[in-house]
Amino acid sequence: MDEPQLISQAQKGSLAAFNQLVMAYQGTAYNVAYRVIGDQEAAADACQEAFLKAYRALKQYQGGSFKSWLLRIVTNACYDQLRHTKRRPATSLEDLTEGGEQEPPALTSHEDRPEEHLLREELHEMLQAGINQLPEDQRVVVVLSDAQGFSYQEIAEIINQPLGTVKSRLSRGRRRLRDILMQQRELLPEQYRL
Amino acid sequence: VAQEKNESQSNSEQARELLSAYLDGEVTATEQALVEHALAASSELREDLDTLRQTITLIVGLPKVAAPRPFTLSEADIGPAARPKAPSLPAWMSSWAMLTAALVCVVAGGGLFLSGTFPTPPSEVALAPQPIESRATEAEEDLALMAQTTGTPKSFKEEVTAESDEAAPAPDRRAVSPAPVGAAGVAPSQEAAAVSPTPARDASSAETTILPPTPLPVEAATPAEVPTFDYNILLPLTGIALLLFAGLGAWLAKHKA
Repeated sequence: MDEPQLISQAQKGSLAAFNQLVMAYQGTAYNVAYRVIGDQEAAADACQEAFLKAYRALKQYQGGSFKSWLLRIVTNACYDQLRHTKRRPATSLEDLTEGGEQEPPALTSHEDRPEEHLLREELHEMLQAGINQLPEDQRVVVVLSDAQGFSYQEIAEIINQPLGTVKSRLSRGRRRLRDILMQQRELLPEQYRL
Repeated sequence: VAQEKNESQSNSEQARELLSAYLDGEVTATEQALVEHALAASSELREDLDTLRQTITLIVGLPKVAAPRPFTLSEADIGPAARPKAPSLPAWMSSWAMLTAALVCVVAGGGLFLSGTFPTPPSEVALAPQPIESRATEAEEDLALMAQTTGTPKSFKEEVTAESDEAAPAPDRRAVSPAPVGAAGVAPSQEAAAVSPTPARDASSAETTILPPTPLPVEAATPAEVPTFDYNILLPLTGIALLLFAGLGAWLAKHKA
């Protein structure tokens, strides 16, 4: 069944049709949420909330890119989750002792040597830590553009802002991230140093 | 020289702002020319471009991660609130619908009860068709009684007229029930003459015409043939209509809840 048909059926209340849409987009939604929030559980919660909101707001969807519409809800859920996290910082023993978020399992395996795999993991954690330091509006645009590969036009639709705003936020976000990584240059694996 | 230096710095800053879009090929031809001119003139800007490109490459290389669980929704997740809503009434209308339903039940129930016990109005009794045989017998008995008391047998027609006038003196009664059977078994034409006040009718003509009770065709006395309107039917009909309305109100109120 094609997407417009599924959307139409879901709008009439078909949960099965909506769940097919969820299956199609949950990977992208989770990756966006994880890179924006930087925490697996919080990202999963944001996604779940976003899909629930999307189901309830289906009547308001009036054509255009369903993916962009859905990801707008996902990014808004991420903002909510970030605000929630700021209000209630994690203070569990596990959080305090482990000292940071572990990179979740990747979908594609590199099949590299153990030490190289370790270096990669380290790099990914540092990059994620750098992304986490960006202001939220710049973070979302950097993630959508560079981590997820969306075009400027798609990003403009997702964040509901003009193209000029996308360009400037992306430019500032990338440069800021570059500066963060430059400050930690010595910590980066040698082959990845800027 | 100072002006040229300022202009060069301004162009360099503008080019630095455009480096990100330049790497994505999202600049206009004019912007591209400006960036490339600035890059040719500044090693610092070239290094800037290089580190920016490396940063992007690193982020692009971030792996796609697997979702820890499926995010499909269940009936329990969505709850009744998320279901597409049935047509509903505002809160104040809903409460009115409940109240109306209760009132209508009382009215309709009372209506149905009364429709079985409601007394028939006297005017309708006068207009209602009577059994022909019993009325004819009554007329004959009356004639006999008259003959005994006055010695002058009255015209049966006159007798009928008197009886009809006494039973229902209102002349507009015919308008209410246009074709009732003659009150004493008289043919409609005779009854018309009896009901309408006829000045030409005198005593002599009445005395000479003694008419026997005219046997009417059976179908003339059958109510099915005569278009009459029974107002008692209104009560149960109204009751049923109101019950339907009450049911609709209760349904809407339930869906609103």
